[in-house]
Amino acid sequence: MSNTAKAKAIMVDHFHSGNYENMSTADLVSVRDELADLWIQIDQVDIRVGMSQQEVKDALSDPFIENDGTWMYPSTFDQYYYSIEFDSGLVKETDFVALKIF
Amino acid sequence: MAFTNETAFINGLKTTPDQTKAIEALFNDPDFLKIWNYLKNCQKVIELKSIPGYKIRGKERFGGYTAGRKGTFVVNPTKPEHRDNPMEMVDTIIHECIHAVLDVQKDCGDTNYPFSKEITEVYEDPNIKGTPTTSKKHVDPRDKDHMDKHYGDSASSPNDEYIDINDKAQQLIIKIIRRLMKQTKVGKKTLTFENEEKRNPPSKPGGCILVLATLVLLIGSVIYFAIQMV
Repeated sequence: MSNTAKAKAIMVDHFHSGNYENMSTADLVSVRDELADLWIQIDQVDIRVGMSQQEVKDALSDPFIENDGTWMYPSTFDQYYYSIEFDSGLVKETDFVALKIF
Repeated sequence: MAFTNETAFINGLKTTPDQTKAIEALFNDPDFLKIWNYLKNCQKVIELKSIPGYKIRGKERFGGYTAGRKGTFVVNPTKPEHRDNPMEMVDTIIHECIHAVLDVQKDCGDTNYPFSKEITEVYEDPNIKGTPTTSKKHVDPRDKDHMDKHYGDSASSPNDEYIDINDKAQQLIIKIIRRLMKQTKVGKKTLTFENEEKRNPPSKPGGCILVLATLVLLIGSVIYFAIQMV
């Protein structure tokens, strides 16, 4: 199974299903740490500048958070996200960001 | 220049006459200007965004800050609390500035750093023993007391989340808002005040009257019984 497919399976099984809300802290930390490792391997290898939104969706599933042309996928407990910024529907840049919300 | 579209962002926050008064006073406040100018003069780029209906984890939020290669500073101008109380928008702007300053300090250092060292956020707080989180459900039991005492409820999801800046940071927000309310005569106390009032309940004006009345009654009873005995 490719790293992208592993990340997609975690997103679908734990996050899009809402299962993460009922997981213990230890399990959630473990799943998000696994995602963090996967994003590093996927970044600029499977997710590249110029890809379309549909290609990203097919590879990684729907975004966990979507705002103003930026998609975010969880990694590490609570704070860090793999972020994909689009311009006119194509990947413009990727980053790891700490998200702080109020 | 660190900010993108600064003028358009500031003007976009003025959607009502009261918001205009509050925002203009904020951008003339000496304490706030120290914070804003520290960010403005830092080489790290901060993208300023106004996102109506800004939603994270299924809840509409007041604002947010994302720290990456660049910073993204978001305010939700259509949050009803922002429209009903212009000081709530001021609160959000200072709150996100606190995250931004703590983020860019790594790039821009201590020259003109606008805060005392006591101002911090949950992810950088050296007193947190477990995995830092704002989730009440997932908070480490060793940190619960510290979070209850030094953080308190979040504004956008008070039942499920802690606010992510500490009491010293919240006190800075309160200090600026008190001054702006006095100057502009618009707006009212914000949700941040509620956490501070839980930590330090204001003395009730009725409390003194109650004590005095009890004393008068007590002394009166003593005098009455003394007279009866004579």
